[in-house]
Formats: sequence, C-alpha cells, structure tokens
Amino acid sequence: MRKQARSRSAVRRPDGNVVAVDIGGTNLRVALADSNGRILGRSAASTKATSSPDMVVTQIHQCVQQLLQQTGVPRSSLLAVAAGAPGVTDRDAGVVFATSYLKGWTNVPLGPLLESVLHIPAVVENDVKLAAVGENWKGAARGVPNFVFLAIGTGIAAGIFVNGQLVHGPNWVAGEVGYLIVPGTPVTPAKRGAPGSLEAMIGGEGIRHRWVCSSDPKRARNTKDLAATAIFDRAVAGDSNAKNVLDESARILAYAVHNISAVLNSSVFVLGGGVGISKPLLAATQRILEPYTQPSRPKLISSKLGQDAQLIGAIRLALDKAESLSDPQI
Amino acid sequence: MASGRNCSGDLIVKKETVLVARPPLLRQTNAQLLLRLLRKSGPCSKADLVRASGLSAPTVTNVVAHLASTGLVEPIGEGDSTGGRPPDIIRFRAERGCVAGVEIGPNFIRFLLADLDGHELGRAKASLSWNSSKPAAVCAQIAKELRNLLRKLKLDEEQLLGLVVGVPAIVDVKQGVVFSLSALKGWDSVPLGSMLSREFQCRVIVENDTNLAAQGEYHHGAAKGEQNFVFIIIGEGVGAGIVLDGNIYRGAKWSAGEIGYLRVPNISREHPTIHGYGRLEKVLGAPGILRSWRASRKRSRTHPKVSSATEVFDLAAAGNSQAKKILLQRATILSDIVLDLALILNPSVILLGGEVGSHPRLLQEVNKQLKGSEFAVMPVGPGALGSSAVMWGAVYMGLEFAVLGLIQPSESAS
Repeated sequence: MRKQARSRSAVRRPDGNVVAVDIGGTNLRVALADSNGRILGRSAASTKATSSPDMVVTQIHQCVQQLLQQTGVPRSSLLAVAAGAPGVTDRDAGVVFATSYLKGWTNVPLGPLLESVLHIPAVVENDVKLAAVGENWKGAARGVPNFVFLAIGTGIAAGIFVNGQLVHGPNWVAGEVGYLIVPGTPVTPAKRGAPGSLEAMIGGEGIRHRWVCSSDPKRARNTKDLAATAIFDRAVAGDSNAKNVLDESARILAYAVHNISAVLNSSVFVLGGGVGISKPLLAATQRILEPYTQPSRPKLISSKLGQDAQLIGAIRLALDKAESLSDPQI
Repeated sequence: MASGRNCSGDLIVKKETVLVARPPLLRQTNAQLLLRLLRKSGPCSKADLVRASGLSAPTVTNVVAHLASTGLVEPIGEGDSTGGRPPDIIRFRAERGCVAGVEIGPNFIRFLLADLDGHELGRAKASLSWNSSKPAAVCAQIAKELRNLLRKLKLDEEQLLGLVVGVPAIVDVKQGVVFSLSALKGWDSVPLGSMLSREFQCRVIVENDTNLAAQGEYHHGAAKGEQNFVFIIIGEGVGAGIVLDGNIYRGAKWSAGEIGYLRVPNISREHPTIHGYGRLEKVLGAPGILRSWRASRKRSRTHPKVSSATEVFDLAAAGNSQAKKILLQRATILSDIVLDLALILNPSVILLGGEVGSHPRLLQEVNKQLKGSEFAVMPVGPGALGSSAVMWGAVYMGLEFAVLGLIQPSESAS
C-alpha cells in the first residue's frame, strides 16, 4: 500500500456494498460484501474456455448482476470493486502486465475495463498480494506488521508485508519468488514463460513430476494423477517413495523460507495455495528449519482463510477504495 | 508530553499523549522548518523566510530570536535594499556544533567529524587488537580518541551534538544493544548505547554498519534519489543494507539484510547444521578468497604470494587462470544472491561495496552473468563512498537529530 497507514476504526464506514473478484487460471469467483466486509453472496464461473480479457470482464459483469438479483441489493449501493489477477500487476494503473495462467493477457487494463462495465471505482492487485492482505485482515497474520504469505500451487509467489504495508517494488515484481535460486533448484535460469526454478521443483506440477519419475512404472499408472497434497498424505501413511518426494520438497521449501527470512527478518510465514495448505509439508518444513536459528528462526503457519484469502483481501481493498473516496479532504 | 500542570480532566491528559500542537511543540516544528530552509538556501532575510515558509512575520521573528539564542543562527548585517529599509540577513551557523560518525570494524575504529552542514571537519583511526576489543575497552577507546579529535579541531565537548556508531552486528537500535559480534572479544548483548551515553552528553545511536553505509550512499553517494535499493557489502563478512520507501528496513527483530546466512547453490550440498550457518560468508568474504588462493598455491608453487583478497582479483584481471576461477565462483554466488534479492524486493538499484564487493572485475562478471535475466533487471553498480560509507551514513543520521537537543522545548520553558 502506497498511502499512509491509518487507523481503520477512525474512518467512518461508508454505507453501501463492494464487489470482490478473484480471477484464477481455471475459475473466476465473485463475492458481494457489505460495508463490514460480511459476504452477502458468491458467484463463480469457469475461465477454462473463456480466458480473453474481454470475455472475463463480461463474465464478471454477469456474476455481479446475478449476485445483485440473488441478494436483492440495489446496483446503486455498489461503492467499489477490487479484483485479483494471477500475474504481475501495476496497482496504480490497474494494468495486469503478464500472466501465464490466462491466454492473451498481456498489458491488460483490467481496472479501466471493470470501471467501464460496472461504473464504479476499481482496484486491481496481484492475487497473492491480495491473499496477504486477506490474511493480515482476517486470517492467520491478523495485525502482524512483518510477514510473508507464501502461495504454493501450480506456481509460487509471495505477498510481503513490511511495517504493515505491502511491498511492490518499482516494477511491481517484488515477491515473484517462484524464480528463487536455492540449493536443490536448477541453476540454469528459467526460460521466459517457463516455470521458475523454485516452481519447477516444489510447484504442484514439479512435485507430481518427481513423484511419477521416482515411482515404479507399473504402479505409476494408477497413481500418476495424484495431487501433490495426496502424495504428501501418502508419505505420512508410510509410502517411502512419497516420503522421499515430501522430504525433498520440504528441504527446498525450507531453504526458500530461510532465505526470504534472512533478507526480510519477517516474524511469520503463512503458507497457502493448493500445495501450501498441506499439513505434512508444513510439519516437515518446520522440522528442517528447527536448527536454523540464525539470524532469526522463521515461524510457519497455515493459511486460515484458505481459498477465500484472495476474495477477502479484495473485499478489504475495495472497502479501502470506497473509504478513501468518502473521506472528507483534509 | 503529558504535563501535570494542565490537569483540568482526564480528557485533556489523554489528549496530550498524542501530538497536539501545543505552543512549545509548534515552536519546535517551526524552528526545524526555518532551519531547513536556511540550510538549503544559504543566508537570507526574514522576509525571505516568511515567503518560503508560509509562516507569519511575527512568528518568524519569534522563532529566529529563539534560534539566535541557541546559537544556531546569527545576523550577518544588512542585505541589498529593494527600496525600503535594507533587510537583516541571517545565516545558519553550521559551526555551532558537530556530529561524530564512528565505525567499529573487525580490527579498527574510524572517526569522522562533520559540522552541522555535513561538511567534514576531521578524521581519526585507531587499531583494535583482539585483546583490547572487550566492550568496556572499546568504549573507553572511542571516548579517548573522540576527545583527542575534538581537541585537535579546537572544538568543545559540548559542541558534540550527536554520536552515531556503526557496528558489524545485529543491533537493537531502539535500546542501543549490540546482539553479538564475533570479530570482537566478549561482545554478546552489549548495551553500547548506554555505555557511550555515560561518556558523552549528546544523544547516542548505535546502528548496524551496512544500514549506515546504505544511508551514506542514499544521502551522499550512488543511491541519491533512490527510494528502494539494496547495498551489499562484502569485506571480511557479508551483509546488506535495505532501504524501502526511503527508510532503512530493519525487520521484525532487527536482522533484516543478514544475507551472510543465505543458502544458495554452488557452496555446499551438505545438510544444514548449526555450524553450517554463515557458510556463504566464509566463502564470499575476504578470508575465504585468501583461503582458496592459498589452497591453490599449495598445488602450484608458481602462483605469487598475496596479502589481500583484492590482490587475488587483481591477478584475475591480469589473466591468472587460477585467480580467474576463484573470482568466477564468487561472481556466480553473488549473482544468485542479487537475483534472490531482486525477486524478493524488486529494488530499483543494487549497489556493491566493501573491500571485496567493490572490486571492478567482480562487478563486471556479476553484470555479465545477470545479463538477460528476466527479473534481475535493475542496475548493479558500485557504491560511491568507498570505505567512508559507514561513517558518512552515521554523520547523516546524526544530523537528523543533532539540532533537536538545542531547540527542543524544555520542561521549564513554554
């Protein structure tokens, strides 16, 4: 956040409602929330077939209309919309630079597009940074000024809070830790568009790839479609191959957490995303980090909001936007 | 802030804990504003100050009188008339006091004294041996050397308005406590701030040396105008000073930027052990480079003898293949560190400094390796202040609070 931090309780809440949008590689989720951040209704659509920016914006519009009907909330009560996209996002301009999860998304002016369709002020933010906002507001890192939300799914990225503010960096790429280099990751730099070095090892696909490669080919036929979390559950159940995959993943994740912690000295790491929520992964990683006491021992916790982290972060940003507009100028 | 004199009820007492613009505070704020203007513009008239500050003429007159009573400003006669009575010109008296920047190194203590405009007045250097490096001894040595320097420059001790000390360690800046400093004897949770405060009347701040070096480059060097940058220093050890939105970032528990603990490839594939920490520091720092060179000399006696890590890099620049190999390995590790920093923080510049880090050949090789990287797109360049960066950062930090002690509303005033 670029603007001054201020006491939220001191700001009068505007009367009205906000729209929160989470654009993912396969799903689009939209929520309608009141001025207290309470979710009044939810709607979802698939982005698998319809991923062009215009089509997604149309889908969002349809979802909003459906939500208004469903909840009986008048359109005129809508104050602002906030949307998260899975890519590098310029929050000031409302532009999504690039994302490998949605086809045809390069330099998409998502903010202006949403404003032109919904006729309310729009905020656009990277989805992982939104999730960090959500966890800081209502989740596992509530009120923690220095923490890192680490999203591990197909890709890996971090939402970093420093002194109570999100870190963006001048090129908006702060927290793109999927490309981090730690012991155990490939040392040759990833090609443009390809998964980053860390993602290639401990992203969902990377884990599955290592699982399939290490499995007995006869058995692999039945288990090659296992999700990363299911592989980790097998490790806990005693499967030695799965245990090797878990141990290696946890070691690489531990290095990544340790490195980010050495640079930032964050007090807490919140793990989220489809792979990151795995309890066996968290436990194994925490165990490896145990002797890492210098310069500081990072503490790992699970996301509390799970899949809703982005949406709840979006509600917070939309409310911030609405409040900033209703604040009397000083 | 809360004052017992104003006891007309709970509400007012409560209010006083926040910054309410009471007259003394207002006067202080106004004094700071006028001082800033005077320092920036040079000598000018009260009318100029009224125009530039937006304060009323009586206020400016009052504040200037207050500042004159502290010795921070003085009239220097009449300026050119533009028709009426010629105006009184006043100037900031940078010679009213001085600020000391001190750097404690692994085997030295360095001093830089500057006036209130940040102009250098003098320097001193003392060596530290392991046996004389206990906290009390270091503290006494700082006091002695600093007094000598003041005397040499014909300055009174009361003129010392700020003392900022940089140490190669994690520091609780609020408490002035140095957590641990392995290069010196017996440095474990040392309250250096309060120890030095017993020696000197002025305000004392103790800070991590790389943070100060970054401040130096920010105010006076290669990072001027950069709001987000990282200054990596490689000398005996490895560390980084991080500046975000123009402020030093110290982390949740003061250890941000301790990149000597980073785990990167090409160093060790061993499982982590407690003794494995700081391995990167051991390889990348000057002693590690010398160790590699000596090991290669054992294999081939034709290699020349060297006394410093930079000499090894000089040999690499001159074409020595073994030295080149050593340099290349360090450049690869450093490139990985730079990339990791770029991914985590996305700074607009990364600066390299320190005896090893500032070697042009190393920088050249790092830039070569980072070329074409999709994320490490920021310029990577040398610091501008060399071995003075820590001391200059200390001086600039000291200047921020030096005059406050003189213009602060005292309890009896108002």
